Amino acid sequence: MKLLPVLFFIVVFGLLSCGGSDSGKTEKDKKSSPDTTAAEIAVNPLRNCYFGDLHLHTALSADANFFGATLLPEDSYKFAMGEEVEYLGQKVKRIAPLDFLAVTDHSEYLGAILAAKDPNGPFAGTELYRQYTSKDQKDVAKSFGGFVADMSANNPNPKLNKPEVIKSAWQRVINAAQTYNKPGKFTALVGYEWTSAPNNLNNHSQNLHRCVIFKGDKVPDIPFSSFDSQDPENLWTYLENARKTGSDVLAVPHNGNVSDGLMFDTKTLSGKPLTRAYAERRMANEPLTEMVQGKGQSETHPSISPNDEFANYELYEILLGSTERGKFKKGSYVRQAFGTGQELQEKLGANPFKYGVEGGSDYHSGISSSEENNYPGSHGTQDNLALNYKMILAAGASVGGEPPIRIGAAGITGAWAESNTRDAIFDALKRKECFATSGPRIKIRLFAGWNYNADLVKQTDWVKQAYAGGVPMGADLPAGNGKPKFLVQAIKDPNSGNLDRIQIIKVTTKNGKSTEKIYNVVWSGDRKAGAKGNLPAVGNTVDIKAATYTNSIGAAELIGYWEDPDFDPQSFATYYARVIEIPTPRWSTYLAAKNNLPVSKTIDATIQERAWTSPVWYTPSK
Amino acid sequence: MKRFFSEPLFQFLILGLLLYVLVSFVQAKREKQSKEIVIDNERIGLLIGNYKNQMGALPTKQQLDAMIENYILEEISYREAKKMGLDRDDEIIRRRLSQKFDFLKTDLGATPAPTEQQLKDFYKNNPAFFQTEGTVNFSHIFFSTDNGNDSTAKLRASSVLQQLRSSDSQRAPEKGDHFALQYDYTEQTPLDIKQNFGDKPILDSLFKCHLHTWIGPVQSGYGWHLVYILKRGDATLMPYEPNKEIIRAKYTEVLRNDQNKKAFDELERKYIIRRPYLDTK
Repeated sequence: MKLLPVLFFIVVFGLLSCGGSDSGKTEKDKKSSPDTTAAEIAVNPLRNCYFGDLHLHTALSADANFFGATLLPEDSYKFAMGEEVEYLGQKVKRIAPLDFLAVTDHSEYLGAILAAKDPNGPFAGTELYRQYTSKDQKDVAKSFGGFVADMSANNPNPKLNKPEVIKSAWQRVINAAQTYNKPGKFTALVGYEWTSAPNNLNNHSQNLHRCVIFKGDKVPDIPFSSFDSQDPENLWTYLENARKTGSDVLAVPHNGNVSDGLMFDTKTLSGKPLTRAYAERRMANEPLTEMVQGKGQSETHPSISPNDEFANYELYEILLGSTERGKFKKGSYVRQAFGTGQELQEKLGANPFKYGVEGGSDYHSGISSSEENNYPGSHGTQDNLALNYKMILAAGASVGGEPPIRIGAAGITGAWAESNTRDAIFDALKRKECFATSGPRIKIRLFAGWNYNADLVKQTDWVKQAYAGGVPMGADLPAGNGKPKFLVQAIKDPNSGNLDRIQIIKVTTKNGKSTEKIYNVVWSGDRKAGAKGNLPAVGNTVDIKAATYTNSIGAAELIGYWEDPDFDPQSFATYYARVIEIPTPRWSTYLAAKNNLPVSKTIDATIQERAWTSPVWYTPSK
Repeated sequence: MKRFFSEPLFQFLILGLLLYVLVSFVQAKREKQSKEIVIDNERIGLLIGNYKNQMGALPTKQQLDAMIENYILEEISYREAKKMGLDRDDEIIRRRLSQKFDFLKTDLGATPAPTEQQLKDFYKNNPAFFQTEGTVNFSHIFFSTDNGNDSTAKLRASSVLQQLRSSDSQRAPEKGDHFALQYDYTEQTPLDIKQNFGDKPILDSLFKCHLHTWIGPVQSGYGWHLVYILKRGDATLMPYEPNKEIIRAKYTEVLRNDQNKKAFDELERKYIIRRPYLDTK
């Protein structure tokens, strides 16, 4: 008797599982056809500025799941669009929504921990399920310890690393992006993170992570993981194959700051010297790098750039999952890599580090909450601000090495695109017409040309003329005569501080030697630049105890014209702009004020938030 | 006769009968037990502990109630599956069954595609699902506070306001300072304003003040403004025809949830839910 229902179930399931996957496919095919509404979406040939996060983890990421994340990609998209979601028992909502988002969960064990804990999941009834759902501290330690050991040894546990589980989680990522992608209003990109971190001699991880971002949804049925290979060259092969059979795709390396000098190394991971083919392949597959994110900025370090008064900003130096401060004097920071890339270009004929820049949060909470005065923490129970504010202000505990107080409320990407669609946003990223900010929605433009003049920026159609007479950020300056001329404009985030100044940072290379120089181009108020171009500080209105500031200093808009006074046509040059805000309270200062506690002594109470453009490059003609 | 009793077949039959009676008896007793779902203090403690572990905070009363209901549903599906002997079969099937139990219940009743009329009725009866946000069209004049000119900017704005009140101008950006973005905005939702002007007093003014007159000075994240509101679109029902797909998706979602709930309600009637945790309070 009891056999009958069982048979019935088997039959029904057999049918259902086929029916399920088939109907899934037709849905996908239908949606990947060109946007039917494309005709109605307004297109601005002079490009609008859209803001988004290209780096965010949900409960599908193994580590985020261990940190107690419960939100899933669907929640991430809702939150980014301005809806309220529940995080650690609190209702949270962005002050201003984002325009685009890519959820980028780790491909290693993608969705596996979530599945392991699911009473209805594929591991239900197994020892694995018991262990992962156990409240016994021994079991918890065993699960997390096992995960850390697997990642460190780059050797997956076959019981947990099930392709069918990963595929199903990957499909969930793809479906969520499809559901929330609203052409013209909000762009949801399909993505994931390849988490390569080979060990150094001390057995500590060296961060070579890359986020993989697809243009559309015709994507491989399983993401490439560091379990497949830790060598980025093999990731590029996967990307090249993916591009041949489906949507265009790019990878974004991040956290050079904790790569132990490996991110911008002058040899390949397998120890071979770099070649022209390597350089071209690297740039074809990864046009951007992450300038800033929760775990610090990778622009530069005060000891590498001693003349940069703004270099000591949101430093994050401990290698992930260790207590070791990695090597960073070479190969870790982006500005230096701009020089190294040009040195290699002199020798090889191609620059392997011709990177545009973007910003991401890398939060492991499922929510892209990068607003300084609206930051609930970013790593689940590891830094639950509502609950553990005392411990956090005392710089206790750690998130993968550093105490949670060192994690920044940062960052986001600004993209100059014709419209808010997958195609337009992805194309902007690919041509590097995008920039990074430490969190605020600062709009910054940079143009370079040979024939601009100082009056141009006073004209209402200056952007049109700038495109017509030169190139925007992310492009090569074509050959020309005289000195290169630049137009820069920054408009503040109306929810953040006023602007202090715009600088142009120039890295030049000649005969294997690189130098960097910072020029103040335009600034607020009537400050007078010194003989060396130095500028007095903008001032400081922050009341640290109350965590308030006023916009009585600084400017809402800065716009300027600059020509390079030190131009040498025989030198390679990378130029990028950096805009600096007036001092405002850091999130940790808001936290202290809210709880009536003293600010943390381990971190700056005020910060000067900022945005960095992708560069414009000049190559001497032979 | 004696021979008959000593016949092994007969002995076997008797033994079988005895076994049947015994098994039925035990089963009847078990079935009664298995109809009872007990939510005791221990269970409540486990639920709370579980939530705290995952969320880092204690659940609210509402959340706890939801968790208890969820536990009951889970327990029922678990027992129903067990009754069918699913726990004793091939592991793969067992896994799939437990994994797909919810899915099965929703899709066994396969949500039929709605007819045009059903869809229209659903749209008509559930306007809350299909509200669009309110919007505003306006023109503004900007007064820059850059370089520490906050008070003078506001004064300048007030004096321009006096002039404009006695004119019939609806657009006069030239009476203020240069603004880096636009002077005229259309179809702006509250979220658009938060993005474009900041979560500042201007937001309230744009959605509350009178139309067709100059108002201000109002503050945005950039400085001071005088604003002329041309039109406000109330939060309206999105039109039916162009949004059919959205309506259909919502219809299916709601129907599925309904069916799910009905299926469980039916199952739940077969169980006796005891809540001793309530007694001790």
